[in-house]
Amino acid sequence: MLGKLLKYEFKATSRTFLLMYAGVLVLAMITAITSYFAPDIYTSTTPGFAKNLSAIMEGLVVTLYIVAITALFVATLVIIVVRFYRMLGDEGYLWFTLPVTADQHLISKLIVGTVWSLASFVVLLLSFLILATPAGLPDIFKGIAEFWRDAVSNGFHPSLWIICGIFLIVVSFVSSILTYYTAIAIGPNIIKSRLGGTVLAYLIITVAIQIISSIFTAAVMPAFVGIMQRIDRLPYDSQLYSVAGEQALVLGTLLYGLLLIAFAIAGYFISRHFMTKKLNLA
Amino acid sequence: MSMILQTQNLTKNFGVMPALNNVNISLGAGRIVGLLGPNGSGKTTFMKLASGLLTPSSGEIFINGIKPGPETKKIVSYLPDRPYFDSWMKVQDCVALFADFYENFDSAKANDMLAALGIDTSKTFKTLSKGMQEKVQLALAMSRQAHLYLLDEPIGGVDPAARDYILDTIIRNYNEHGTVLISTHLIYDIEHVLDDVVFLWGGYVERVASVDQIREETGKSVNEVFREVFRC
Repeated sequence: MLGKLLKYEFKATSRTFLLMYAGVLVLAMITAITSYFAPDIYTSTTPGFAKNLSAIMEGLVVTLYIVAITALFVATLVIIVVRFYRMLGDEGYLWFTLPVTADQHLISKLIVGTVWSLASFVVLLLSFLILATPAGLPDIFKGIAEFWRDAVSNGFHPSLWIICGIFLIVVSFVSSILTYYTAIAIGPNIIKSRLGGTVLAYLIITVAIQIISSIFTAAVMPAFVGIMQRIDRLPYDSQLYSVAGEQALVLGTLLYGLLLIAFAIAGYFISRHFMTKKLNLA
Repeated sequence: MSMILQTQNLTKNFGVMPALNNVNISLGAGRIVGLLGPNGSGKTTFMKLASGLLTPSSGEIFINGIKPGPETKKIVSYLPDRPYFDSWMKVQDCVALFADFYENFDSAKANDMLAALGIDTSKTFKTLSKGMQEKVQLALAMSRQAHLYLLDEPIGGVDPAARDYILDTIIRNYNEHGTVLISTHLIYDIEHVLDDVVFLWGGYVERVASVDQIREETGKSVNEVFREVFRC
């Protein structure tokens, strides 16, 4: 049943997402091409009017691109939230009368939401690459490779940074999506207006997460201070800088990763409770 | 006799307002039952509790002896009082979805019914008129070989010709395991297909009786009795 739910969830969302991705990437290409061919406003020998016009065109294209990536960010969030909100509204008359468990509903929505969030993120990075192409993509890659080599020769492990980064991105996407789901699931139980209840629940959850995160940060701070003090005591060209620095990175990633996973698990079970024991579709 | 639907002191409150109050009814297998009552008497609430869309405030409801959940949803076919398909779906996608999720769904039967009701399955569900949407959802609900059909106002929004077709379908679909619970206030139209009636009033069960019983005891039709009981 989970497979079937995933199939329908992807079917329902893919058209919008793929169109958006195509739009952003095409706009990035147009922006790159325009900026490549646009005469430089200071050095170009093109006559004044044409020069100004092309500068205006370039500005317009860049603005469009910025609007597009902002829209991509907002739309990804809105679609993920609205899909779940509607499932607990009129469309729930379909979804909650299917012989499917609340777990299957939650997991399918969560998987699809996370996949699209990551895809939107990748599309954003791709569009940056396209923008950078006229400035010389080989140079950029050369710069990155050089940086990587330098880091490695100084005893760092850049691949570890990437793993930590990806881990934190995935975990924070999952956890924030579950925060929205929890608010939507609790919403109708707080006040009569479902939308109002959802917003209120989201505010309360956000405040609670902030408070818990602050307490958590205060609690784990000594561990980082310890590492910092060790770094301070190191002799000037010590290779151990990299070791201590990466220890701090791994420790931070694990601690905050676990905190986010804890939030995600709490959100999952609260949502599940409200979707089974307290389900009351309007 | 095995009971397909049974409630024990079933109560549902919305805020402080009781929508259903201490309802105790048992429906046997193979009956066509009318759930009758004026607006706001709790008919829809009852159907939503039976289909698992609402959680009881107190008391219990059993479908085939178990509480509503994924197992009961396999054997309950629910037709709600509103459209529930997503905007991207064509009618044929709706049929495919039912075929995907319900083992007891008969696609051929659904397509026959849709054709008979004059529905173009290549159209998007959301672009159909309200009456057409109701017909699609009804055709889908009736194309399942379910043990319990919960039909909330199945004929309220459709034209009289379609009404006859729908009632015929309900009767033709009759099998000794399938109980049909129909809520409506168009009693005159459905009276001749009913075996039993449940009168709901302000969340209370006013009366449970077979249609024959009502005719014998009062010498009147269900429609007439309804008008007397619920006189404003």
